This record gives sequence, C-alpha cells and structure tokens, in this order.
Amino acid sequence: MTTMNPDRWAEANRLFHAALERTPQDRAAFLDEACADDEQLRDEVRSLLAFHEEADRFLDTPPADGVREGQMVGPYQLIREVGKGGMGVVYLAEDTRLGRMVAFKALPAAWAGDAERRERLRHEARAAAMLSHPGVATIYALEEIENQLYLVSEFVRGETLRDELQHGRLPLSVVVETGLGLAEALAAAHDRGIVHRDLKPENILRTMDGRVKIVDFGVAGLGSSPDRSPSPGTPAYMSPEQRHGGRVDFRSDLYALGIVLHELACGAHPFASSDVRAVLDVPGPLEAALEAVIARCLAEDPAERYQFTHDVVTDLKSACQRPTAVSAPAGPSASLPSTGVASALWWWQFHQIFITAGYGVLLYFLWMTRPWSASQVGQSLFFVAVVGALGAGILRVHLWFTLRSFPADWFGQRKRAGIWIRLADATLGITALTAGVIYGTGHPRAAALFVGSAVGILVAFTIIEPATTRAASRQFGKRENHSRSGFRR
Amino acid sequence: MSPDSVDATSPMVEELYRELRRLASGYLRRERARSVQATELVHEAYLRLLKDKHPQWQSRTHFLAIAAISMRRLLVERARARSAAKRGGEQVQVTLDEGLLATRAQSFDLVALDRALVDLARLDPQQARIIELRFFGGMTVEETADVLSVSPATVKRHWTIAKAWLLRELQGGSSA
Repeated sequence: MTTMNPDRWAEANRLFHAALERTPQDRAAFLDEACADDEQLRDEVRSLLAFHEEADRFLDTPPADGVREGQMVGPYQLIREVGKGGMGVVYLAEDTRLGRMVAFKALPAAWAGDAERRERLRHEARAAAMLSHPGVATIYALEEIENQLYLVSEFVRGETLRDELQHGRLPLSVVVETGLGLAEALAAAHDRGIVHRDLKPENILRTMDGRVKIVDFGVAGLGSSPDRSPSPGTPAYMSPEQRHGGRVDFRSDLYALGIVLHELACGAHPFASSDVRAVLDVPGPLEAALEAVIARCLAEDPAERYQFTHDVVTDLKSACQRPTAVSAPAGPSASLPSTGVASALWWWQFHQIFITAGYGVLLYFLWMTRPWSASQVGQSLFFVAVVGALGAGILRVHLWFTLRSFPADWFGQRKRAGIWIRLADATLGITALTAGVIYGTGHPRAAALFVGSAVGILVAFTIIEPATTRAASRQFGKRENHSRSGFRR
Repeated sequence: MSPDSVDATSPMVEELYRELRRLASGYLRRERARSVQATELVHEAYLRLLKDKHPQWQSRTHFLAIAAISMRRLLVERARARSAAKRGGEQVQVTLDEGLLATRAQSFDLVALDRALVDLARLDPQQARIIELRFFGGMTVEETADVLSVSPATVKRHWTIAKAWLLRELQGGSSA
C-alpha cells in the first residue's frame, strides 16, 4: 500500500480487529459502513482479513538452519531447486518408485488445512491428470505427505516466456507460432472442460525444440477461492469476470491468452499503455490478423470473446498461412543490416558459410588419408564424416538462405535446427579426433591436423557459435522492431 | 537496562551472534544430514552462557529477547550467502534447509521475511519486534508480553495482524 503510514496503519488495525469480532457474514457490511468514504482503507482491511484466513499456521514452525543432501519427501528424492513459482518452490525430484524425473512443488501450507479447497484441488488435479497433450505439462499426482500437499508433474526443461520477455518482444512470426501452440493446448484442455485459470508467461515454458508447454493446468488458479476478495492470484492476467468474482469458464483463459500474446508481440502488458490498439497499431497482414485475435480475446464481456477455443486456432493458422504474412523488409538486400561488415548478423552468416566450407576441407583430407589405415577403418570414418557434414552443411545453408529470403521464419527455424547442427558437429569432431588417434603413429603431421580440426570444431561449437548466434538473434530482434516502427510512420 | 531497548548493534547481540553461529556449525559438522532448529540452538546457547554466570543476563526472557535479534541476523545472513552462491553459478552440492522448510510448513525465504519486517517496523515497530521475538526467539506469548511490558492479549492481537500483513507481502512478492 503506497499511502500506508503509521496512523493509517493504526486505523486499519482497529478496523481489522473490530471486523474479526463480527461473524464473517457481517464483516463486509461493517467495513462498508465504517469506511464509507475511504475505499482504500476498506480494501486494505479486507485484504488483511483474507490473508488472515491463510496465515493460520504461518510462522508457527521455528526457523531452522542446516544442510541436507537429497532429502526424501515420501518416495520423492529432491535433487535441486529449479525455481520459485507463484505457489511455492519447485524442485527437480526423482520419483524413486518409477525412477523418473518430476517437477515437485510444495503447495502453500494453508491449502492442506482447508478441507474445501483440498477437495476442489483433488477434483481439478484428477481432471487435469487425464489431459495428455504435447502443449501441456502432464500432472502426475497430487500427494499428501505429512499433512502437506505436493503437486507432482512432468519436468519440463526450458525457459519461461517471462524469461524470454526479458530480452524484449519476440518476432511476430514467433508470436503467432507461440500463440498457435498455446491455443491448441488450451483447446485440448477446454474440450475436456479443464480451465487453467492462471495463464501467464510464468506458467508457460518453451522447450529446447521451440515448442511451448503450459504448466499447472487446472490447479494454479485455485490459489484464490471466489469467496475471498481481493484474491491472492495474479490480477494482471485475470479476466474482468475473474476479478469481480463472477463465473469463470474457458473464456477467462482466452482473455489471459490475449494478454500473453499482446505482451509477446509488444513487449508490454496491454494495460501498461492506456490504449490496446495504440501499441499494436501497425499495418501489415500478419499484424492485422494477430491484432484481431488479441482484440477478440480481450473483450470485456466473455460473450464477445471467442466462443470456441478451436476458432482461435483456426484464426491463428490462417494468419500463418497468408502468403504475404512475412513482415519482412522488401528484398534480400534490405534484409541485411545496414551497420556494415562488423554487425552480428553478418558474422553469423560468415560463420555458417565458413564452417560449411570447413566441412568440405575435412572431408577432402579424410578421403586422401583413407588408404593409410588398415582395411575399412578409413573408409568408415570418411562415410561417417560425409553424413555429419551433409546434415550440418545442409541445415546451415538452409538457415543462411532463410535469413536472406524469409527473415520472419529465421528465428523459429534456427531454434529447431540448432540441436541437429550440434549433433552433426559433434559427430564430425569425434570423427576427426578418431582419425587423429589412428594416424597418430604413422603420420604425425596429418594426425596433428585432424586433432587440430577436432579442437577447432569443439571451440566453435562451445564458444564461438553460441556467442555469434546470441548476438545475431539480438540484432535480428532489434531489426524486426525497427522495421515495424518504420511501418508505423 | 530494559531488554526491549537492546538494539541490533549492542555488544551483547554481537556476542550471542558469534556463540550461536559457533553452535550451529558445530551441530552441522557433527550431524551432517540434520538441520538445526533455531529454538534448539538458542536453548543450548542459554545453558552454556548460564554456566559462565554471565552478569549481563538479567533473566531468561532478557536473554531470549537478545537471542532473537542475533538469531534473525544469523539466519538471514546465511540464507543470503547461500542464494548469492547459487546466483554466482557455484556448484551447490548441498540442498539447503530453507528448501526443507518450504516443503513442510513454510514457502518463503528468510531474506524476504527480513525485508518485510523492516517495512513493518516503519508502520509499527512493536509488531515487528513481536514477530522477531516469537518467530526468531521462539518465545511464548506470555514471555513476549513480559519483555515488551504489554498484556498477552495485545501481543496476540499484534501477532495476528502482523502475520496477515507479512504473508501478503511475501506472497505478493513471489507471484509477480
């Protein structure tokens, strides 16, 4: 509370205790009367009363200090903390019965004591556990161990969209693709009558292969019960009906989806600016299509939003397929950065071409040295290298070509191809190293060359490539923003 | 000197702080996988210092009132040091006890609680002190009332609203 000072706090204290002496039903009326002309004070006391209900066992256990290695909670062995969510600390844990890795989350202590909430939670978790969709982190179990509730779900390796947003808005094509992934996952859940209730960038993870996964389906929103206001949920992503304690259905998720998409496309929450349209008001077919989807999701009245989550999927799909959807600058020459040779994108392109040429050189040497080794070994090495070099080379040239011709797709393509390129690079590195070892005694110079290339590949792989790619992505993002603000003028 | 007038810079707080830290690391060395409860530590420190017939301690409550300040400092500093080590990318091989607590009854970190207590002290210093004495010092309502020279009912009232306020502060911070 910004305006809280000791005097107002004393007044809030007086009202809080006076309200506590009344029955829960009478409290609202009492506060309305006592704070007739001071809404802020009333809200403060109300919120304190709501938290008082939760604070029952809070601070009851004395603090402790110490170490523990891989503590067991029931059959779960905690491995390490992986993050702090809205509901508590999340651990990577091993389910020792099944030997699989899970995300292990302790739910707030107060939840276990609240029989009604626990029942609702159980009900929701049971429904959500039936949901199996690549865009949803599957819930495995809701465990009650020593009077404490734990949510056990699929462990997803990746970054949250909140982390991604730290670097600013995403390229529009990525936003549409992300939106499509989210809408498909939501559609699958909504088909089964499961509502997320707390969709926000913190609850969405992007996996290594670029797909999105929604976590905490069905249970995240139970942090707030409708009878308590103001609720301790995430107000910034709540739909109007959620904020006002109205009936919450799948259309509340669509509202939150609208906010998330807006945030991804513009880098800011829609209501950070006074007018939604002002931020996204950019001509261009993709922008228009996305904007229409977002605007419809953000309708105040649920009846004016999409009435069918599959319609969001359809609309986003058609936005993707528009031939003119690529919001790229006019020609290949315009797509190149104007800052000259030293720019990060240039380096990235140079790196791709240089490495591809390097593959050719390596292949040539492997071919030439083939007869030196006993029987088929040289031959096999050469063929393994051919496979690796072809795979990585084709992907690198493909990415380079995409950047020059279809820049809007580059970001997504790069994410998808990355792992394969690295795999192929690793294969080539190992091949070169093997060749070096085999030829080591008879042909020390050639061996040195092979070991040298293996080291070179390793350095490029671990240090140079990640750096140039990161720099290029950053520059690419900036350029996209640039070209869009250019359109606006 | 009234125990309540003791502040965090008092030499007694400093001395107790060192004693508690020594005891804590002794515990943890002896029994690797065990955690130490603050109250346990305070109790042991009390017995130890009682043997020394320390003239400064006027009573058990006086001792506890000072121990609460030392304990708060000790726990918060350790929590802060550990989270700094984690951020620095150092290999943390041990999992820490805030985690253990989080899976049991508390899901907040002590550093955040410490910060919230500083804010609360601006609104009502006595409420912040009550939390410190009861939570970090492990004192009962009656002992707290005795130290602060107020009625137990007052301690209970302050405890109730301060807990609600702190919980809101901590949850608001983590869900953003």
